[in-house]
Amino acid sequence: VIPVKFTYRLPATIEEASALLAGHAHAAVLAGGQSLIPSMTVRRTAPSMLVDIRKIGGLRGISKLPRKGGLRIGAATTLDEISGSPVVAATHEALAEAAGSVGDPQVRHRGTIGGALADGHPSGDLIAAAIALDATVNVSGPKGTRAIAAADLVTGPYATSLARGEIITSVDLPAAAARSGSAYLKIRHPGSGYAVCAVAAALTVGADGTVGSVRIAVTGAADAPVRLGAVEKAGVGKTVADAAAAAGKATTKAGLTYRSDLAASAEYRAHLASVLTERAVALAGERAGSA
Amino acid sequence: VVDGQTHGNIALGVGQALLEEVVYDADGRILTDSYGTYPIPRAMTLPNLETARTETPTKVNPIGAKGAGDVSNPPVAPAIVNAILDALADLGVRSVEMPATPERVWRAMNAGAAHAAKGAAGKGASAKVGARAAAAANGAAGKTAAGKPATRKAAARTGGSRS
Repeated sequence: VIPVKFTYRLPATIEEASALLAGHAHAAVLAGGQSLIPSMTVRRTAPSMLVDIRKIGGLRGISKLPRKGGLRIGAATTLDEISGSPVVAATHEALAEAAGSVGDPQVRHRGTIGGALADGHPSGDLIAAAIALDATVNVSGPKGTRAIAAADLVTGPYATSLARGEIITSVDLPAAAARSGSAYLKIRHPGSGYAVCAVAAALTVGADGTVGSVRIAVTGAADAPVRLGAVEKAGVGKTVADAAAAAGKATTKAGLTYRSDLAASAEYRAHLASVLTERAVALAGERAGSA
Repeated sequence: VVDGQTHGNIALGVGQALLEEVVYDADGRILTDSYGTYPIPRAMTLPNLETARTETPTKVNPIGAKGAGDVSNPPVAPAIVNAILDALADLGVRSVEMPATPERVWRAMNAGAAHAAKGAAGKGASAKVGARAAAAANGAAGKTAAGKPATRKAAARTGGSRS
């Protein structure tokens, strides 16, 4: 049951969509509808206008970035297309795994990467992988276009740094360096499918077998998905096995305030964050070594 | 029909043993009011089931029929919980509350290990027990997320022990 009345618009261009959103106080973007519609159903949100962006061209698909290398993923690309893409899986494993871990097949066939990121869910899967892979989120709004670092996108539970009228148009993933690898490991809630806790790790391994650089993000554990800078530092310069163990231990001192709810206590989430970090770093390192 | 009833009852028992719990807040409002907060077993989280039955017609009615619905439910949850306790016996775990969620199993393992360490302290074996518990707890985090290992074991037992 969707009890609140709303108007429906189907703009043909991104500029038109932005103008509609900017000119209306309670408008929401409709893309895959897999976060918005359930949220309207339980009345967590009650937009008075839905701006359907599915007829806007050029928002869907995965392409290679011409200049710097890397990948551009259109905002309306479905999670199923991302998890099933051999191109993404070859170089950006964590993103393919995060997309494949969302909900169920029906949700993944409709849900989009742009929608998953714009939702700002505290247990969002895609955002954690995007942070670890140093992705950039491209947006278009009334004042033109801009790029937001994935780590700066989600600012709190269901809150993002997107301004009114701004729509995510694509996500850019930097080219994977030589001997790099990534992984996304998740403990799924058996009911909702959201992460009770999940960790994304991306790293490079030098010729001497030690970890050169590492990026780690955790989701589901705290109020918002977050990058673990202090944990990353603990792993640099060590062999993959030592880096994994050190990073796992360092999560306890990462200054995170773990969430406590029906799905898990803060204490158990802290345990999961530590275990998953260790495993994600180890798996990413294994992939980097064989890349 | 009988096989379908049996499959359904095993699924119910799996849910009871591993997933399902009604939680209220202090004002008596139900917090587990959707399948997102009140998980039940789904086709993708259940193992394949093998069932066997023995047919012993009753003599007290003309066609020899007996009820064959709910009778397959009662053994399921005890079989699963017994399987968990059997697996954790060497950690000194004697009981775990239902539903045996990953967090409850983890807590039981920690408490069991602490208890065992206390008991063994005089014999100098506490470090060894502690290390085993830590390694096991590590494993529990990933592998029991969907309750799969315990479910498989229990389902096999349920199928095999019916006579």
